[in-house]
Amino acid sequence: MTTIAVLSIKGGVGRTTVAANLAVALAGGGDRVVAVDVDPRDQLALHLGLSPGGSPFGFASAALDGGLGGHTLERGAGRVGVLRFGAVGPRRRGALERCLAERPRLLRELLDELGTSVRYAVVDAAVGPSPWFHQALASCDLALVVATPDAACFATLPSLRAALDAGGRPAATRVLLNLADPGRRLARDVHALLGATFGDELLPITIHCDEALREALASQRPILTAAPSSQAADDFRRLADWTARFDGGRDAALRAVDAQPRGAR
Amino acid sequence: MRWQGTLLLAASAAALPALWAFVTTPLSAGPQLVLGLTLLGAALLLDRRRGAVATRMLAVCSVAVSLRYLYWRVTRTFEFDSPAAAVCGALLLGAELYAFAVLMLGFFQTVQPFGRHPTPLPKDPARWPTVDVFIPTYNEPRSVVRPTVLAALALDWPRDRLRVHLLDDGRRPAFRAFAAAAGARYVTRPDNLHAKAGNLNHALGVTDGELVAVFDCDHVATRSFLQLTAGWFLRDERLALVQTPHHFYNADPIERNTRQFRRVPNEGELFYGLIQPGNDFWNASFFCGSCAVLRRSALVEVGGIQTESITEDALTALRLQRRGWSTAYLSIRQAAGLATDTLAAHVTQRIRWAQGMVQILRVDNPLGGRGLGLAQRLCYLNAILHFLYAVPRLVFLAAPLAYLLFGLHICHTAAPVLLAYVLPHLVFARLANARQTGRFRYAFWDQVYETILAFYILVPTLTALLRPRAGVFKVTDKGATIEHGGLDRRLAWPYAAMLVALAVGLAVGAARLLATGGDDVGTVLVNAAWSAGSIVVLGAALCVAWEQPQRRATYRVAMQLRAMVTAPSGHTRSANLLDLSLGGCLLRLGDGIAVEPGDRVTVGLFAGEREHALRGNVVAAAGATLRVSFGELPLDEEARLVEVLFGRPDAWLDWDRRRAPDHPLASFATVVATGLGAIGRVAAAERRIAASATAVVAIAGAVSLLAQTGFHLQPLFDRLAQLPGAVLEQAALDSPPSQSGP
Repeated sequence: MTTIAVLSIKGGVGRTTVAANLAVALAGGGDRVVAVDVDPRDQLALHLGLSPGGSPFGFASAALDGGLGGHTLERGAGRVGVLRFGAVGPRRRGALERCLAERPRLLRELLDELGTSVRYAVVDAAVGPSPWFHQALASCDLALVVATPDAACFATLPSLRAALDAGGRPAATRVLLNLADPGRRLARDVHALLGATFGDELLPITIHCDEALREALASQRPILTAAPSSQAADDFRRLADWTARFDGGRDAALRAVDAQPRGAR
Repeated sequence: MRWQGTLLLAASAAALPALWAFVTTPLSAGPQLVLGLTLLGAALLLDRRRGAVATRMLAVCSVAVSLRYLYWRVTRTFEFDSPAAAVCGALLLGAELYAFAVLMLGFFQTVQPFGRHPTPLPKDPARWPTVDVFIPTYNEPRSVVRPTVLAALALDWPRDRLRVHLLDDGRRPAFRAFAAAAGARYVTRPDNLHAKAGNLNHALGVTDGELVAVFDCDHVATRSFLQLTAGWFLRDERLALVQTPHHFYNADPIERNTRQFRRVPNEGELFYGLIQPGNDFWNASFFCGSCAVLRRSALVEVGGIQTESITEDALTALRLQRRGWSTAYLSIRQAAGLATDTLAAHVTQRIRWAQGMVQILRVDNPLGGRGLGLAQRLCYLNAILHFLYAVPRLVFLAAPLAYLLFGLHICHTAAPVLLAYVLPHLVFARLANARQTGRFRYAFWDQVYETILAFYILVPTLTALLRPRAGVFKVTDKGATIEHGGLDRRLAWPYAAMLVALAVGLAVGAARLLATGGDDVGTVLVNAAWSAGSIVVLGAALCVAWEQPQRRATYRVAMQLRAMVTAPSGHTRSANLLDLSLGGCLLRLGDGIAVEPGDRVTVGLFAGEREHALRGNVVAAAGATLRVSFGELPLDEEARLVEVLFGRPDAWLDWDRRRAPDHPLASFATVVATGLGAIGRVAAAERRIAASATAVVAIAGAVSLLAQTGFHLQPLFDRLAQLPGAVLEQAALDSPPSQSGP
């Protein structure tokens, strides 16, 4: 299983939208995909067509119980298995935060319980730095940091670096530009600055600003079914393709490392 | 390699006596025909083999067969019964010798076209040379010059090592403002002495980069132009020039008016596709005035761009090579320009080329002087000789008239013998030539290209030959629109006049056949067939003079790119680009989108990893296709459009990929259809002229008939009356042996 954590250190950049649509796009390739919400605001299920507060079971209770305990995942849009955050009171939430602090890779352990039939896990983690952010960062194979082309987001870049470094970097980090609008000068300039700052870590794929994305959320449908011929849908398909290629490349790299004779390193 | 050369030399020496025997042994018509057919069979077999060896063997055979023909022509047929015939006969033989000389030089020049590759630059950009880009302009519209400057500014080269200079001999304030806004340096001078050459020399005086890249103001470079060309200067310290092809992304008047754009190679492709690589093998490729990089120190050594010829570029290269500098040619299209729009402009431009090249023959004859190797001399000589084709071409067109109209025997031989000698010579020359040029020049089109210009370069080239210092540089008009189209009578009349003369010749020939009862039937038929060929070629010239309307000021380039469009509502569609121009684009969307004509949309174009957004107005939205017009773009968006349209390194590489290979018979059919179609069209449009011409032809035929029969028509009528009977009789005589055959 490949775990992709969708992260941000600023709210309102469309992180949950990206996580939900990426999960659906990955599932569109025929693989089993689960989406996990590690954000107390519990929005991911909504993006995937499930009613809010529909099930008390979720990441929070699983983490406190130390396991999934035989619960099955809900089935969201595009056949994506969904583990919502779940309802949790203030008292239990304090306990949960302590629990996460003690076991930084608890999320990983929960995901491993799902077995090898699940190809991808897409994790939507709350804005960092926070316990949720670090849990996702420590448990993932690929961290997708969502940025938007505006001054406010650009100003958070130094703290993003710090947050990534503090969390102990995962295998790979990529910055994904969301709400890209190359017709606007400022958007272009910030994009160029991101490129200069992150180099190859800035994904060549961007998610374009698209009214259809907002409308899709309003109807609780993923963009791939709500507006399949829109550019945003195309972008998510490309992002999924890129992720699959990244995954394949990682496998190949791992195999190459494994194939080396002992002592050669 | 050395011993191979010696071996070759020895083999050639041994073969010489055999060649001499082959060339000089006279044969009568029958055996010569058998010999010719045998050789042709061998040639066709040889032609089936691929590879350079077969090509060269075919060329050698072709030279031998042609030598045999010419030897026979000079020794056996050069006899005349009147001074007039002698003059015409000498002209024809001279034209044939010229054609043979140019063919030989062509074989030599392109014996081993050099497929030069780019040389990589050092890893450290600090070691890359500094480059000044010169864009000379005089009176061209700003819309033509802007993309050129923007593309030069976008060249992939360290910013601190690249300066772009707009050299404006028109001293126009709007150009100054544009250059300032775009970030180019604007350069003017107090006078316009020596036109483009003087303009470039002035710029040399106020700049100091190690390399100088020159672009005509309509030649828009790809981003990679310097990356691909500059490496050779670091590798070879004595290299003065790297020239790249001139590529045109619109149809020139010949391509447009014959409707053969991108189907038949245009006039320039032979030069840039074959002749320049051939020159490069001999270190004799020359500067073509644009899309080239020069080493400043070399240019300074010869005193800058030369001014004694109006083709200053070729003369400059010649002077550089005399001083021991090397030149290089890189056959990779790294810039695209505008071809001339009208035949008139095309003719003006070619007159300048022809005149300038002939000037060089007189000003600085490559056969004489110091510093050149024999091969270089021959390559330059051929480049110049090529432009002396006017007289030979007109002689070839008009030759049958000497006999048909005036009864002059300009080639003293019987028709069957002539055919037995000339056909192998022509077919061999065509075959061998096609082997070398087939990809870049289709069969029979060279005649069309030359015929169009021969009438117009005749006087200028002869003048240049006699008074080489009289030439004036004329600027070629570019980027014009043709509102109405139609026949350009001013240019077409020589073609039409020659065509009518040939038709009269045919009528008179027919009259002679009728009057004399077929004594001369072979000669008349040979001349008639020749006239028919000339008429077809002249018809094709008329076709080119019939201007097809060209209303678009910007040219659409078919282009496959991923794209997107954003509607005013903020909804998007992913799309595919179908065509793009400086004025707009056509998109195919994944699905229809709710926009109406006039709506403001943003078009995103994905070129590699770069994404470019351009704003425009919807012109038409039909189903899933959308045409968008950009209108007047802000400078930064225009720069992005130029980058997408012209900047991609591979923008022009596949230009001729989908073109069918040459089939000589198909080419022949195309030229014939073009020529006859045009004659019909012109006759229909110019009814009065056509009627007069027909009357002239008819009267000439009738008068000739009357004159030759001495106004005694009775014998003619008798003969005509007897004709069916005679034919039957002949058939009766012929039939018994065939019945009694085995």
